[in-house]
Amino acid sequence: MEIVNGTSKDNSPVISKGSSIHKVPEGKMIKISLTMTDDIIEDVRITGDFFAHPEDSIEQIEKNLKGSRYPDIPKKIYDLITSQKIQLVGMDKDDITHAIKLAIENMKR
Amino acid sequence: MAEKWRLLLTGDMDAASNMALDEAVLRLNKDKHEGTVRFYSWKPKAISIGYFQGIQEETDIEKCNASGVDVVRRITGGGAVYHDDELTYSIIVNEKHPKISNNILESYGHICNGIVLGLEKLGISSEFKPINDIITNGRKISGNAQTRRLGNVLQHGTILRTVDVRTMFDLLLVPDEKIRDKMISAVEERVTSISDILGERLENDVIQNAMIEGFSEALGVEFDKNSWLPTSDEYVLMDKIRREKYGNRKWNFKR
Repeated sequence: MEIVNGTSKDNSPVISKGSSIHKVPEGKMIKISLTMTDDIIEDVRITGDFFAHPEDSIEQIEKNLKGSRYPDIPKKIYDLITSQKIQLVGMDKDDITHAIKLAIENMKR
Repeated sequence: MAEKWRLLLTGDMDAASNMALDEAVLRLNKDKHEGTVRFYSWKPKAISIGYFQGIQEETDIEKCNASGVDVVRRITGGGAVYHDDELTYSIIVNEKHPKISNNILESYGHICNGIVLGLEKLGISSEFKPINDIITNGRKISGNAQTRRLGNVLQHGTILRTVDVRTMFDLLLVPDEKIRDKMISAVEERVTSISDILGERLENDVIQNAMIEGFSEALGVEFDKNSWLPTSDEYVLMDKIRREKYGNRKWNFKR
């Protein structure tokens, strides 16, 4: 199938998967695996050896990012971290965004 | 007079029971002042993975099963740990306790100071290395992980008596098989153990007693050494948490 700008020529949705590993300098490792339909995030999983308090906040972030497009991600993450007073240790919000960006760049279509 | 804290010495248990007991003590800790310090070890040998890690990304489950090594997901973040010849501790204390900093990074340092002082009693000089390690001569000898829930802090960590990096890597997956040997050598360079440093294998009791003194000094508390077993409520809750959570595929494979 020929892909032009993330959509197929015949306009059927393109499902793609990507993953990334981001080692935070002086910090921990973040691994992302995500599935996108066209440019919309269907599913994202944030794993690694970092710390986040409370722990279920990472699952909340994952849920919150479903259905969004990449440009909206930094703000969504920032808003959730601020409103829920999430403390990250060994990485910060920009590291999560960066790792997701890497995963999108690594997309296999 | 120094504040009294409770000591728990539970010896060898399987991975699910060990993690369930830490959580049971955390859940039942209502006391604002009396903290608990527990020492334990793992039988059978086990791998614990951090809360956020993917179990199938990190561990070779089939190999673990074949070698009789337990695999359990912790309630705390951090990395995968191979629990073999080590002493493990946990500390459970109310978050509002005056000795516990609100700042998570600071509180790691403060609690880890108990191990640094304990190692000193064994003739080993070491230091806390943020985020969550204790190093001696630049090499890691202890890894630590903390969670805060229900108004309590739980920090647990390992103090390595001997270290077997090769077996550990046999059970863990590495991102790139081509560099497995290189990784093993690099990690061997970066970790050490009490036996490596002292050139002799100390009894667990000796290490445990040194750590009890270390925590007592670091926290300015006294331990009641006449009782060292969990309460019956803690045992009952441990059993429930073991069955429903740490001994259950749903929790261990949730990521």
